Amino acid sequence: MALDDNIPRLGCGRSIDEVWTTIDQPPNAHEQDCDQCRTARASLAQLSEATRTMRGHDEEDPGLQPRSAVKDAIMSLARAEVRRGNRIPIHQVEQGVIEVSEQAISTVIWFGADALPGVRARRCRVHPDYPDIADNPGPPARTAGLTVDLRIAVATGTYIPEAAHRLRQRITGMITAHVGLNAGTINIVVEDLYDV
Amino acid sequence: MQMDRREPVVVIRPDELDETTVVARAQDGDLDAFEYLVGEYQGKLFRLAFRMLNDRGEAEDVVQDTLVACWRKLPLLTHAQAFGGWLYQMATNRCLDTLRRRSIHPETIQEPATLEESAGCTVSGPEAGGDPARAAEISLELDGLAAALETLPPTQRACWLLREIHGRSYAEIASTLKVSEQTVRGRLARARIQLAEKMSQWR
Amino acid sequence: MSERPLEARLINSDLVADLAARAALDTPGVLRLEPTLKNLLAHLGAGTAHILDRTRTDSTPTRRDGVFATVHDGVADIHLDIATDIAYTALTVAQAVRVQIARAVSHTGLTPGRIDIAILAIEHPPAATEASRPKPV
Repeated sequence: MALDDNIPRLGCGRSIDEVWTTIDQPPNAHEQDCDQCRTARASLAQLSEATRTMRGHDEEDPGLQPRSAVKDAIMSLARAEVRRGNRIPIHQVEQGVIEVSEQAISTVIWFGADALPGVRARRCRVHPDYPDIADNPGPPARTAGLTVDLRIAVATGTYIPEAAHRLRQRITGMITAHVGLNAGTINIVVEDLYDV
Repeated sequence: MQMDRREPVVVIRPDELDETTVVARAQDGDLDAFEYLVGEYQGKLFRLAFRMLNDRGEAEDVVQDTLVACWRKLPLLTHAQAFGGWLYQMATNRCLDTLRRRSIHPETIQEPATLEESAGCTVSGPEAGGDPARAAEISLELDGLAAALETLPPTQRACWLLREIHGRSYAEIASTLKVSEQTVRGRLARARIQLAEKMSQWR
Repeated sequence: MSERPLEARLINSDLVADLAARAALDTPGVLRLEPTLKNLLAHLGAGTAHILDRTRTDSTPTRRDGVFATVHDGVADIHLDIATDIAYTALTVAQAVRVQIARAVSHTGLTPGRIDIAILAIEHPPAATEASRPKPV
């Protein structure tokens, strides 16, 4: 679409983009004298003004929002198709198995990390330390440990080794207290910095 | 083994986090995070779709389809930072599909509706400042621009709306429409000329 | 149908599922049962297999939202998907749920079989605004 790539020019040779980008400035010597430039400037200035109006108006206008039923429909579908990640068998006895979803554990980890300043926990993967637990039923009761892979962002200026240490301690404490398991290994990857 | 229930509970809401973190958690199945993102983007996507399609019902369909697809495809999004552009891309393509269907089935072409008729809103927002003369002027300006937008070819209209109303980058618009940045600049320039001409006629 | 043992007609899997759901919801730390579409399909599949396996017994699987129960030869097997309160230890809650369900099943005269529990969500309970809200005069 080579035709599409060209920036149209006025008869006087000036490109429309040049006129547009200087629309808020006073006309230069050529533009003052050139009829085509004067006409183009006037109508583009009018467009620029209307564009500003539409930008401001549309954003503020409560009528330019979808009805609340739209969000309700989106959320009920998301709930019906909720992704809980893998189910990790965490306790196995003769009477049955207890599993916990990866997502449930992630929630606990995010919650724990949120209480620490300077750290934001992002994507989280959780694996059992004993992946074969479900294949070995029978007493004595076995309880799995967990391996956690967590990606985080840290606030600029944070001393990362110390933050990571505190985060590990926090996650270990949270998993013990809120899930009831031991967190064996907690792998942390700092993927981003954010400004405070 | 029960926790001390008096332990102070610090619940950080998604609006206290940066968007990339919220997106990452939604990717891992956090419904609260996703609901926050729906709230953040549904208005933006609706405004894009409404100005593309000039039809509330179809615009709502685009919003719903886009955000449902978003939930389903979120785990596939490799760069959480690109979330906003990704949503705009899905919504824009749905708008263009809708317009394509309309052109195949011309009986569904809409009567050009003014904003008041179709959105059920009146221009008395803060920009009018309660001044009826200014409100009338704004209303005229908006109707003129909206009517002029209707006359643009769909991809030009998408370029113009994404850049001028939604402030998306040239690179993102180019990747959304699968054209070069130079093509985006060309289409924008053409869109501006046509809009300016139509608006002069309107007045 | 009329050839089923009396016991199966007296206490069917519907009742067992109801009992299990009630016992779970009465256990402190359980926020709700957690139905999911995927689950439902998985269990429907498993249930169908069960029926085919045991065509000569009285097994009729029942699923409620988040509960799945089968009764055969006087033994009740139950699978339950739950969401627990983050203020509790999830594993402890699940173990308590199992004890409660086993007790409830025993009271029916059936034998508790396998009771599998999946903790799908660990969450804060919905904000208790009701108590703090001023009463209308």
